[in-house]
Amino acid sequence: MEEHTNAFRREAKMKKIFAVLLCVILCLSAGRHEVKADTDEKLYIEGLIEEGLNEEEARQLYHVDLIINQLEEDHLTVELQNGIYAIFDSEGKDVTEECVIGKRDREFLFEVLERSSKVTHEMMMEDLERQMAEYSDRSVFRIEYENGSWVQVTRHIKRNDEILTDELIPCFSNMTYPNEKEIKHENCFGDGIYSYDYEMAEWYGIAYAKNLVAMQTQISNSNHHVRVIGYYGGQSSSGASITISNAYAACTTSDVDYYAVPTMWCEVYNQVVYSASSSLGFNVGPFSFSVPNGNCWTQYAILRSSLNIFHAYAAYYV
Amino acid sequence: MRRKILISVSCALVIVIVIIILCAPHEKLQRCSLEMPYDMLNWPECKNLCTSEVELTLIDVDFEQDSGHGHQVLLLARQNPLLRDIKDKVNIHTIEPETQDAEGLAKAIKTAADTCGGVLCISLGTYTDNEELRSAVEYASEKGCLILAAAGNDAAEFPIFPAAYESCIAVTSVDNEKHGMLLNNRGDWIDVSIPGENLEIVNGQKTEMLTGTSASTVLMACITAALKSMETGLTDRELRLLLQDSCIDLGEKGKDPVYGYGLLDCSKLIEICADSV
Repeated sequence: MEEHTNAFRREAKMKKIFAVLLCVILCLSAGRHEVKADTDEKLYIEGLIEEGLNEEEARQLYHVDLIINQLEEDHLTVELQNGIYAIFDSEGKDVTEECVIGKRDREFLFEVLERSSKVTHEMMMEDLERQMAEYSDRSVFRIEYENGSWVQVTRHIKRNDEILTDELIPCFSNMTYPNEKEIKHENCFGDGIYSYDYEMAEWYGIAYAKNLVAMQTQISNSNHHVRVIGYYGGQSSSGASITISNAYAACTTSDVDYYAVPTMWCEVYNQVVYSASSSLGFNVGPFSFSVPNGNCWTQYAILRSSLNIFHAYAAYYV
Repeated sequence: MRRKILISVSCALVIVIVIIILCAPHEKLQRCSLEMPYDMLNWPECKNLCTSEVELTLIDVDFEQDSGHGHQVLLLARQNPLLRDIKDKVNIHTIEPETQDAEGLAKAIKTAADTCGGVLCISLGTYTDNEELRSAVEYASEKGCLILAAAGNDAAEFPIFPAAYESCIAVTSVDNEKHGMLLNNRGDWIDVSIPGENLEIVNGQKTEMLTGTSASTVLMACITAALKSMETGLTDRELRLLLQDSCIDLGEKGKDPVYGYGLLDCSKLIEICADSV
């Protein structure tokens, strides 16, 4: 009897030890997963901050991404019906309540989509074009919208070769007469090698995209010549809402005689084809008016140079 | 008890009075209300502080031609609002280099130092580091001249002279949004940023807008002339040190190749100088 009791006690003790060990292992492994998830999130957010977003924007994008990825995995689409956001399956059935996206995440996504749709990609481009035309001398443009979206453009020009002449150079870059189109460029672009760069970054609330282009030209006033001697393009995007389908840089005009054909400028561009996520319905988000779900639009960053001045601008086509 | 209350009330009164005194605007330095882009400079009322006459020499080319660079620089020096109240204190001179090269400029600087002194405003430059030009600048500096030179608008990242010489204050320009302009030269020799976009002048029947580092240098020269008129006995080295404390940092933190120390805050600069008068 006593033997049985002892065996029972031993067994009970072993069970206890086993249970404790199991708990410890479970806790440790759960902890590890949590740490890993934290690390992933931290890395993702740090990467976005390095790209140019602030912490709040980066966190928002991380959260949106998790939800959009889940929607894509489950072949679900967010649509706006009668002013109400809802989630539909591939057969068009409203699965808002029963889908895997929890209530808090759903509300968060719908709120972000509602807010971000107030400023469309089209509006951003129009505002940017207007501002760049108005302030042609400026090297940084940033338009911030009330809904938190923004677009920022930086453009630079740099002379690369040394000027060896001993001549005195007056230092007005231009003199204009108000209300007249005439612009006198006194000493713009002496003979030499110049490099130009242009970068456009956009934050839509649910995605972030960057497009840049750079070129180098040789300018020779004596034969009215501008020649492209090098160029490159670059692009990036963050967020599951948009993806880059295709991108390349090209030079359309590499050699011009400005006075023979003044309308012809040297030109290089970087072309990026973006696709909107198939999980965003045709009427939701900042691309809704011009880009249906799953479809593409093409974004260009363009640099042009003549003997007198250079232009840098963005263009897009659906 | 009553004594305690009295002490507390007195203490509170003293604190309130101290706060009122600290917050009250400086009587000597009320801010002038000027139109853009001059408004960015925070130019203070300093007429009463400018007591002595000062010489301002513009070294440039084509003073006689209506659309000449020198002519426009001269009009900007005469017409800009910074010197409006102290016009009678600032004597403006012009000197044109005999030859349009570094040696010609060197001679012009020496002549200016010998005949006029005061503030030298050079809206010209050459990319040749010329020994004669360097020693002319040092000569003028030793004679007590304050030398301001334009940083140039060639989008170059290599030095232009005399701006890049140590005895010169190198002036670059910012647009009306306080951004560096596309064609500005850049380098660690840039000292200070001054507004230089669309500065209006009346040239005969025409209103013209000047843009670039030449225009900014003229404004900096006018500011420096006002400082000289305060009899602070400021040397170029002291002025450079003062600039560090009187600029609103722009661009990269600290002194940088695009903006130098940053955009000059005249009210700060003149306040420091006024205290030393």
